[in-house]
Amino acid sequence: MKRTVPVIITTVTATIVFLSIVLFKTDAAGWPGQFDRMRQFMAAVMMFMGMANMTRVHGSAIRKRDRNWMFSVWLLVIMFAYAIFGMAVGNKNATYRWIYDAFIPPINSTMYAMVAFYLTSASYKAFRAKTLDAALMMACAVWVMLSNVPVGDMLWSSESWLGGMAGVRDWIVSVPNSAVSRGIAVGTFLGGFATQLRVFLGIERRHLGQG
Amino acid sequence: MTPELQTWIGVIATLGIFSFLIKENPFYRFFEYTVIGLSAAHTVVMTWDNYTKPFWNNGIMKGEYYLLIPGAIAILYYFRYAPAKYQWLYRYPLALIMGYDIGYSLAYDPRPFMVQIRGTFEGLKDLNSFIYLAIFFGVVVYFIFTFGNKSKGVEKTRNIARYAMMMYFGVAFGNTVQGRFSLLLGRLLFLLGDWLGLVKLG
Repeated sequence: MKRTVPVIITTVTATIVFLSIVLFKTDAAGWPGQFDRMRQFMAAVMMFMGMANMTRVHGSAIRKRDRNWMFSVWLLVIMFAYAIFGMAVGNKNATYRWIYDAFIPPINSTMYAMVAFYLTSASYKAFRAKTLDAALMMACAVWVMLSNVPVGDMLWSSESWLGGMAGVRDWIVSVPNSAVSRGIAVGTFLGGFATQLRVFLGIERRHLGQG
Repeated sequence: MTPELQTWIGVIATLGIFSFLIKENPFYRFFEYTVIGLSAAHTVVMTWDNYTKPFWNNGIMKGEYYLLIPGAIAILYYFRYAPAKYQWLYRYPLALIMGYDIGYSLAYDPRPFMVQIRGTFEGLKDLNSFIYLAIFFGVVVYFIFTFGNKSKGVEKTRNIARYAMMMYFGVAFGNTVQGRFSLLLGRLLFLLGDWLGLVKLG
């Protein structure tokens, strides 16, 4: 009941959905469309899971008076206040958008921008051409960075032989890089497909947890 | 609420986050927790507005009562945080969703990849297309024979694939560095232009 039934549910549901897509019309009114709506509605009902988890984690931090417990209080207050306000007035409300624009884009872009400083120090460690692998990686990274800025064009003009730095960069991106990207995509697909088959056959059960 | 106040909040938040570069401090923590709380709430609001409300108003309230069954099963997912005795109930909605996603994936996913593999073999006309094919083949071999194959041919193919992959990672690294520096310039322009008015673009 606790483990076997969910495994059977997964296999039966996967079979029904697969057959419905293969055998019936895939428009919204057909069986696949109806299954899709049910799946979307389930996800919509589960939407509070993230907030529930945050409440659990930060509630625990507050109870234990962890080092940053006061910030946890602030996080829970602002999260619930903003969510309740947003659900009441809708995401197109001017005040709701104002709060969003004031906080989220500046903080998010600064967080990502700050990584530039750490990338610089990481580059110093990574770019030591001790092996052929590291040398290739370093050369390509430096080449791409130089060819994207005016200095690159000054060093080797795009109007000269082979299209200059930009021409070689375009070749690297469109031939070896694209081939590796496609190879990785196919490798990922094969891995994902194998995992799906394992779950479908009930061999893989780790997603159901312990107990 | 004025745009000026919005700019000031953006400035204080930007400086707060950048203060982490000196060391971790409460000013940074405050804005870190603020953005986590607001982002979680925003995700819920967007899902509520775009899915839950339309499903309720345009679906269930207009006679699509069958949606109540998956909805009721989905509620069981919250038993993940119930007392240990009842926690296993969360597996039922998870199993249903896994089943749906696997069935959908098995039906739809193979085709785009088959098309990509076919595309690799099509149009073999110049040196570049043969280099492309060789690298693609090498990378696929690299992933399929990650463990347990000591054949010299496979080993050499894997080596060539590894060099190509290092080039790929180098390009990705270069692009990431430039992307992040572009964001950094954006933040500096915000501080020096929008706030202080020292820099004017255009």
